[in-house]
Amino acid sequence: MTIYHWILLAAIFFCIAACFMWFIKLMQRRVKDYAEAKGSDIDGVEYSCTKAMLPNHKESAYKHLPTYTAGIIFHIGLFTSFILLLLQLIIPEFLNSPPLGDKYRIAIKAMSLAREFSSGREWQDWLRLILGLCLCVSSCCGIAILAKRFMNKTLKDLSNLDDYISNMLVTLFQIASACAMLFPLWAPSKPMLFIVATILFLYIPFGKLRHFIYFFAARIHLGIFFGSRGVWSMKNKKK
Amino acid sequence: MSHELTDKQKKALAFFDSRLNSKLITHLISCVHCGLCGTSCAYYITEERPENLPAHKVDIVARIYRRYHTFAGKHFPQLTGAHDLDDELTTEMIDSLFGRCTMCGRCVAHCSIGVDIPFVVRTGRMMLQQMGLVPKSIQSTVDAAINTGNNMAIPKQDFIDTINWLNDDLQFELDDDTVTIPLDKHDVKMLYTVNPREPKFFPLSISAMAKIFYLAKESWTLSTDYYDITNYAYFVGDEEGAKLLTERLINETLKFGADTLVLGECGHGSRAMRWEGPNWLGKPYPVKAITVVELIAQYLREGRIKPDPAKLIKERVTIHDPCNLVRNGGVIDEQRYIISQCCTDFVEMEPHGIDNFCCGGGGGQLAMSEYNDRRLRIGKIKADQITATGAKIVVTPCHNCVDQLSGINLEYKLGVQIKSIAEIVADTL
Repeated sequence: MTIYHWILLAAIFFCIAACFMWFIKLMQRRVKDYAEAKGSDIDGVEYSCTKAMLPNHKESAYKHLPTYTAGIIFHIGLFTSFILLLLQLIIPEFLNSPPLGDKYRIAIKAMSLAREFSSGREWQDWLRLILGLCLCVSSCCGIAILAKRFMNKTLKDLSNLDDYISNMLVTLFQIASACAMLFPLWAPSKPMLFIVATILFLYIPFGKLRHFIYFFAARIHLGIFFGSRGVWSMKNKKK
Repeated sequence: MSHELTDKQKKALAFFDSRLNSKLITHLISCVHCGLCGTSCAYYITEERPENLPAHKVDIVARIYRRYHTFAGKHFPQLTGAHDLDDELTTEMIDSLFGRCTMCGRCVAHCSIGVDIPFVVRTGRMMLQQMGLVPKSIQSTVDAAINTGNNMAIPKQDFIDTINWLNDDLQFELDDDTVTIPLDKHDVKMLYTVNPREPKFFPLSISAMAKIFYLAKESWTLSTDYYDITNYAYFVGDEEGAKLLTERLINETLKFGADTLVLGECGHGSRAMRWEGPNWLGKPYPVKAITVVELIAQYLREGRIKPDPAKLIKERVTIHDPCNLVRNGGVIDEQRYIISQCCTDFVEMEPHGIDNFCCGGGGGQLAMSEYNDRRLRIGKIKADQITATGAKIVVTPCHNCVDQLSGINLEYKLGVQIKSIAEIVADTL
C-alpha cells in the first residue's frame, strides 16, 4: 500500500460519511401524506425507477438523443471507473500480470477462448485494452457535454462553476482510469489515477455530484407522488 | 459577506427553513443543470429564453438553499452559484416563479432526474408570500375568497338570485315544477361546489349539473355561504389561507349532514381539495371528496343517467386535460369514458392525458393580468393542438381552462365551442 492508497481510502471514507449523513437527514425529514391514495405509491416508485426512465418515455431523452446517449455513456464510464478503482484497491495485482492465482481460475478459463485469438497476448492485456478504449469514448462524451455547456447560451446561463468543475473532475477521472488501463507500465499512471480519484471523492460532498444519492431519492419521491395519485400506476397498467 | 437581511427576508428564510423536509431538500439538490427540461415547457418552447427554462426556476430557489444551508454555499458562494436572498433575487423570483410558470408539472415526468419543479416553484412562491411580494392581482383574488367566501366577491343575494333564475329555467326545460336546485338543504348526501366563474359568467353549467343530479335522483345541495371550489391561496403559497378555505368546505359539508364533497369542474380546486387539503389540515378528511368528473362517470356506469341516442353529439369533439386534475390528480380515463358515451366523433389531442400541454391559464396565470401577453403567447401551443384535431367542440372539466381556451379561441380565431363536461352530458340527456 502506497501513500496514494491511504489518502484515497481516507477520501472515500470522508465521502461515504457525508453520504450517510445526507441519508440520515433525508430519513429524518420525511413527511406524512394525509390524502387518501387513489393508486399505489409502491407501484409508482417501481414505475418511476424502471419504465419512466426509458428513453421513449422522456422527452429529455428522445428529443435530445445525442446528449442523452453521451450522458448515458459518460455515466457508464464513471461507474466502470469506480469499479476498476475499487478492484485495484482491493486486489493491487488486478489486471497487472498473470498468474492471478487459483481462485481466479474460472475467470481465466472463461477468457481462454479470447487468448487463443490473441496471438500470444494475455487476456488481461486484451481486457485492459478494451476497457481503456471504452473509457476513452466515455471521456470524449464528457468532453462533448462540457463543450455543450460552454457553447449553448441557455445552458451557459444556467451553469455555475460547480457544473464545470464537476464535469471536468469526472472526465479527468475517466481519462486517468483509461490511462491506467492502456499504459499499465507507465509509472505515473496509477498515482495519477489515485490523485484524481482522491480529489473527486473529496469534492463530491460539496457540489452537484451529490446527485448520485439524491437522484434515487428524487425518483422515489416522484414515484410516491404520481403513484399515490393513480397517475403512473394507471399508465403502468396500460403499457 | 452576506448582505443585511430585512425583517421580511428573515421571515421568508425562517419559513423556508421550516419547510425543508426530505422531499424539498431532494428536489433542491437533484437538478444537474442539463437543461433538457426546456423542450417540455410551454414557456420555453414558445420563447427560448434562459429564464423560461424550468431548471432556471428551480435554480432560483436552490440558490437560496445553497447559500444558507450548504458548506460550499456559505463559504464559497460563487462556486455553486449560491445567492443571498436580496432584492435582486426576489425581483427575479417574482418574474420567473409567478410570471413564467403555470406549475403544470409537464416538465417533471420528462426531467432526466425527476425533479418536482412545480413543487419547488410553489415553495419559492411561499417565500414571496411571506415577504408580501405576491402580485397584487392574484392576491386580491385570494383576499376576496377569504373575506367574502368566494374569489369573485359575489354577494350572497346575487348568488341566490342567479340560482333561482336557473331553477326556473330548469323547471321549464324539464317541464317539471318540482325540480329544484337545492340551496342550504340539510340531511343530504352531497355538497356540490362550483367555480365562482360559473354563477358569474357561465351559469348554464350549474343548471347542466343540476339536471344531471335530478336525473340521477341524487340527494345534494349547494351552500349559499361557501360554494367556491377554487383555492388561489394554493397558487400564491399562502398555507394559512389555503387551510382556511379547505376547512370551510369540509365544515360546510358536515353542517349539511353530507358525507361527500363534490368538487366542481375546477382543476386546481379539485387538486387542492382532494390532494393538498388533508395535509393543510394535518389529518384525513371526515368526509369523502370526489371530483364531479368521477361522479358523472359513476352515474353513467351505474345507469343512473343515460344519454339519449338521438341527442348524442355528432360534431367532432376533443378533450383538453386540465393539468391539476389529470397529471397531478389522476383523473385520466373518466372524462374519456363520459365523452365516449355522449359523442360519436371523439379525437384526442397530441399529446394528451398526463402528457398534455397546459392551456396557459394554470398556476394562477388567469388571475394575473400582469402576464396576460405571456399567457396568450404560450396558448399558441394549445391552439395548434386543437386545430390539428379538426374538432368543433373542445371539452374540458375546468372552468379556468374554459376561460383560457375561450381567450385562445378568440386570439387565434379557432372557431370552436368550449364546453364543460356537465354541459356536454346534460345536452345529451
